[in-house]
Amino acid sequence: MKILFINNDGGGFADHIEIEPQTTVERLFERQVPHGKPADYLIRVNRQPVAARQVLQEGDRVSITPTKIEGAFV
Amino acid sequence: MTQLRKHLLKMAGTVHQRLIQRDVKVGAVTLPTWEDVARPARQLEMASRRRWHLAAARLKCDLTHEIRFFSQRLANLAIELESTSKPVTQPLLADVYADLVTLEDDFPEITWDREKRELQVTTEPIELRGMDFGRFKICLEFSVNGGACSYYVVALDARPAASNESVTHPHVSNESLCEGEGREAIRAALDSGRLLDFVTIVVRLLNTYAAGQAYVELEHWDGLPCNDCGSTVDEDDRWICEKCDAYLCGGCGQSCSQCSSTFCASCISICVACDEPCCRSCLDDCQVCGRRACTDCLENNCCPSCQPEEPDDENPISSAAQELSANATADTAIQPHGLGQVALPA
Repeated sequence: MKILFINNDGGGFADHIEIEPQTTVERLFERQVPHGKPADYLIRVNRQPVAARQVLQEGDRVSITPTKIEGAFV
Repeated sequence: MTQLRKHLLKMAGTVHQRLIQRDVKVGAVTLPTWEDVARPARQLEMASRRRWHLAAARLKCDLTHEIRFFSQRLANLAIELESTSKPVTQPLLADVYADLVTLEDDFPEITWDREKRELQVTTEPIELRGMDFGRFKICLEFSVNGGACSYYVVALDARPAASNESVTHPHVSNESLCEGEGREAIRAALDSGRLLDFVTIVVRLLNTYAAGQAYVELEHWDGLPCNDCGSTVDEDDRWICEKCDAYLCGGCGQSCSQCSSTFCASCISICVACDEPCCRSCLDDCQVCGRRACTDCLENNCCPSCQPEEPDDENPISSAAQELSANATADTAIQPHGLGQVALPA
């Protein structure tokens, strides 16, 4: 099934991806951010905070934003 | 079904119109002004040449700030030019509305400024390492010509740095945010019209302190410490040691009695003769005892204690006796014995 996945870490990725039915938020995070810890990110589904075990549905909008983003000079 | 928020729906319509009017063509490019950097550089050179150390220290801070701001403006411009070369994703009205609903739920205030054509979102108070910087307003501008969106960040409860009042947050100067790690994600969010993501990234930046990457570091926010007593000194009350450039408060800076320059406790000395504070350049060694005295107290390269003794012309009795003795020997005639009288000088 297809969802809109937005990763606001690094370069900023926003596109539709295919996932298997019954994929949870936690599983999606592990696949898309393999070296990250969920506690270091704001994870929203359809713009709302969700539990890690929530099962994703067709057409869901999932966004992942780091809680710490450092400002810096060029 | 969730009740529609009419005011947000109207706002979403306006914002959506602005977003879809964005043009991929490159408009007029506004370069930052080099003169803003060159001017403090010239002033710093003049202050250094004339040994105006306090002014030079201040100008050095100003120049550093201007160089960083100039560099950031160029970097932002490069990203803006890059983004205008990519096709802009047109967001749906439903997505814009949904973003505004979430923004209204998550933040204290969200408004549309019709005159400025800005979407404005007010944050909760920002606190970094126990320091409260107050609320900020994120203002997203929609250009009249439909160019790329730009934004600025206004401090609503300003607590600027003591050394630079235009720095209202360690990573905000002149209402411009140092995007750092968030630069590309911000640009991607704005290109796609993802307003919630854009605001979320900016707020995370405001809530993150990157030590060593700030316009003004937190430890120096309220001023720099006095080198001698450690108290915090703000820019207006700060003195600088002429010799070692240490920062000093008004109570610790000591003025040389000869040249009037200011020195710290480590760089000032005392004249052994008059006990006045004196810098090492204005002291000289007594040729006899080797102790250091100021130029006022040294005479013939000797301190007062080592001056040679001089004849005492001030004692009249002693003077008269000496003169008398001299005259008696030279001028008095030897009279015949038995005369009974001898002429005495007056």
